[in-house]
Amino acid sequence: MLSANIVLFTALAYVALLFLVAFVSDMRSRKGWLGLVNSPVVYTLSISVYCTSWTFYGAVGSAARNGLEFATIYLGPTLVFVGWWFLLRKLVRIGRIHRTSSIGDMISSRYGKSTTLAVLVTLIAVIGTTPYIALQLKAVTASFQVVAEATHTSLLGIPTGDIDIRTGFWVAAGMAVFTILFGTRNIDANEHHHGVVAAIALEALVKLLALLAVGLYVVFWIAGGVPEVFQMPTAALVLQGPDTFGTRWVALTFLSAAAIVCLPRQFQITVVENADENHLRTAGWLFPLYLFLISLFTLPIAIVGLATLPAGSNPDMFVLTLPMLHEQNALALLVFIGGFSSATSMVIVASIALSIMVSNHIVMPIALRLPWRSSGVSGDVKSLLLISRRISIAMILLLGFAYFVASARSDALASMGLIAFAGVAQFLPSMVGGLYWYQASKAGAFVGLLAGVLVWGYTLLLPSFEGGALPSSLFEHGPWGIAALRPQALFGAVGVDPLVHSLAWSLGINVALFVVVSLLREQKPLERLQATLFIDVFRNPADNETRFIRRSAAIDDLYILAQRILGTDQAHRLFRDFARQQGSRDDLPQPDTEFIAHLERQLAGGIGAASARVMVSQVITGETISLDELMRLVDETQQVIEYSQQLEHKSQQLQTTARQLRQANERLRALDAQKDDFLSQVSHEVRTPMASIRSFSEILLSGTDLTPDQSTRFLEIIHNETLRLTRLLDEILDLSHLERGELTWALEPVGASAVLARAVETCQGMATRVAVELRYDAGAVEVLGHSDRLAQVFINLISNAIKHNTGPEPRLSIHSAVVDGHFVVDLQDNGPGIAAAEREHIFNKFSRAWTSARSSTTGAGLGLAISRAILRRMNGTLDLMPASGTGACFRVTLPIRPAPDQALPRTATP
Amino acid sequence: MSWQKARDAILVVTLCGALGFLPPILPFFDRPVTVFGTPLIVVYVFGAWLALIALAFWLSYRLPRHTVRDPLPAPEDLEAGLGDGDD
Repeated sequence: MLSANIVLFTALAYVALLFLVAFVSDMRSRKGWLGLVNSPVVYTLSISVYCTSWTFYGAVGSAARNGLEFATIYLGPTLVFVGWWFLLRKLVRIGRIHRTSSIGDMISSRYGKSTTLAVLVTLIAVIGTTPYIALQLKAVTASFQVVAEATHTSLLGIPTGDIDIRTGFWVAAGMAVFTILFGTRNIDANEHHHGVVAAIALEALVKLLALLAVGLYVVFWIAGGVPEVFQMPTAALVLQGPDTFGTRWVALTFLSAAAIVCLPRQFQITVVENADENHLRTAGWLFPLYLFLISLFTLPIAIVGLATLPAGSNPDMFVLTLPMLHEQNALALLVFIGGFSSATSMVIVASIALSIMVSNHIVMPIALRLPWRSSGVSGDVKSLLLISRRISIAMILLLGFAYFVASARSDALASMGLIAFAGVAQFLPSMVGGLYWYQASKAGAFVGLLAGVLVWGYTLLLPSFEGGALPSSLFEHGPWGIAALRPQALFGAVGVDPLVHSLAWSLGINVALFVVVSLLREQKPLERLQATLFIDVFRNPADNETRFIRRSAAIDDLYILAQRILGTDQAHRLFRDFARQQGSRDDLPQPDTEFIAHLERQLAGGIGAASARVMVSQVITGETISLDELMRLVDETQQVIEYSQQLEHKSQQLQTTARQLRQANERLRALDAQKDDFLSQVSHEVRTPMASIRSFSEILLSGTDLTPDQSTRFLEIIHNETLRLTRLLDEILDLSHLERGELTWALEPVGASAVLARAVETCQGMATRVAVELRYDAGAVEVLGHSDRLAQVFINLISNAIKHNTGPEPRLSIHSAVVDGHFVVDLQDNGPGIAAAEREHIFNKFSRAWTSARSSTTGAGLGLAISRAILRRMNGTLDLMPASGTGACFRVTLPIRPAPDQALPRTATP
Repeated sequence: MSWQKARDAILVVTLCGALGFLPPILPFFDRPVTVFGTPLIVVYVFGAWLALIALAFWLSYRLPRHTVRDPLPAPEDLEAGLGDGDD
């Protein structure tokens, strides 16, 4: 059994350790040795201030009553942190850039640095948090009495006597001292409390260790293993609660997800105390893991507690009473310290967050309106803030204590956790809406928030006092007997879970009014500017503000102002640093728009954006907000999207053009190469006859001993060579004219079959050796062309087929037909054919593809090229058909003249 | 994996996590079946939870780090000096 003294001594020693850790961390951070305090792990641990004594003790109670439902409280935050990239990162970035000091500051700053909005948020936060603090005091007091008494009733988890109010008072007083010492050390430009964060992180470790120790003990010592736990009869009782996964499950998951963002203490730790945005990366998985571990043993403890503890035990104390039942005093003490940790860490952070909000959003605006402020002594605002924060902390804890005393005998506090969640969830529409919706306006946020909180207070907070100060007739029959206004059945919504009922009405009305009023009311310029700066925070640095607001002030006035708020040292440093950045050697910077904006942001970190703006405005001589610039900024997003689309389009066009140019270039290169080939071929062809002409004429000139016969023969050779030369040159000229389209012979109706027949007859003489097979299927058709030229094509093709057919039984088959309105002639021989590699070049000039050995009688290799050019002039084609069997097959295709009366003779034009 | 893909993946993981922990998917596992002596629904809730954490861990280091510093350090930061460069 533990004596009260031992418990008390341990608790005091633990508190002393917390003071020491906070003190050392604070000292180290003042010297610039942030070390461990600035690590992502400490950041994550400090976020676990989410797990208060309500979850430390209450989760097991919840599991005993409603089975798995307790997990919703952790699943919501898990999802928010897993998706940190989307919401939390934006919050943290805005918080860092705009030096946000609290959730009230964030909301007020977003909606044009509105003081009224900040006051409303502060009041809601105080209303929602004070009972929550009372709940923590009650938990510490009750657990102290249970663990220190160890009588039969205390084993039931119910303190023997009345709740000892003195314990609660000393706990509250101790927390007040701690918070004032480490939470109001200074007015920082960024509200970092390193000592507090270090202590909170330590407490987070202690409560996790305590719960894990109890869990392991219960599962493996008391029950004997995991399957044994779930074989207990109470397991079925716990897990088969009626309708666990209904609307209440959804509502609770949503609520806890909202709370992890909207609870003032969570905002304080996650956003305001954040030292480095990259810490979120670790918290994104480590915090869910923490939640997972802390809830891992909740269900087994509840099951074993229900099975082994006497009937009538308080399930909310199972964590403590199970070790006590088994005489595990050390474990019981550890659990008590764990519960104490979770309660105190919540109280400390919540009171810091609330004190900052109260001093910045309520005390400062009042002080600014009082006449005595004109004294202007250095640091006077700073000391006012510090004093008001200290008093606020004391007052908040006193309020929590008073609440605790008032409700000590009732169970009103038990449900306070979820009620507080639902209260702060009212911040969600205006905060998240403000981060993503440009049109969200101050009026909309204010009306939505106010209405949502009123409905919440009426439907959820008020019923928690039932039976005490309020008559129960109010809840049964409604106020003045109006049934439609019953708090838990508003407008006839009967039979709904009270929490779901309240959440649906309050958030529904909140969102509806927020959206509708935002759409109806125009934003002020400053609201619009802040909206853009907040929503586009990843695109616009805070300096952008200087583009829209032009202000000027006397540097002395600004310096006095900064001294009053920051104190002499910090103000001097701030001014000197900015002066250096401006490139000035003086310690005073130029009081330009940029500097004023920078100063206002720094002051906002200490006193909140709304108050900072009011104070800076007092010393400013002229201020204009450039609406045009503002509109341009709003449009910029749209423009950027359009630009990128245009760019994409243009680059596609460029790619197409480049491809076309490349293709054209390749064609040009090929043509150039062809031209070079052509020239060298021509030279070659000309050179041979020229050489023989020259040598024979030399012989004729020099030789006197030539017989007349010889002379005549040489002259004949010379003559023949000149003829050949002329023919060659004629062909080249012909081809070149054809290709350039300079030949102007008229296209006239020509009997195609007749021309073919004439050509075959002409070739008959040299075709004695070759068996020519003729088949004219085309009949008498007319094409547009030139009969001699067409005959030239046919003769060329036939003579080629005959000349180059070196087979033993040379055969040529000529077949004409009409296919699809075209006159088609196929010339198929059974010669050696054309090698696959040559097929492409066969129509080029000077190519003699199908003769491996060149005989002197062959032409210059221009025949096919000329034939093709001629046919092209007649709108026809000459193709080499794909190789099939032996030999080569050429196909001539010419369009048939449609009808003699329709077709008019026309001249060939290119 | 590019960071854009990691970002899209984390969105999908978050949404799937939300769907997996809400009706109608959750009640699907609420049936009298045990896995190694533990009810299926308990195994599902804690298993899916752990899987979500593992995915978040795996993806979190594929997202880009925030490197842009504030245009001007606050006096507090200057006071802190070198200690600010933790990572």
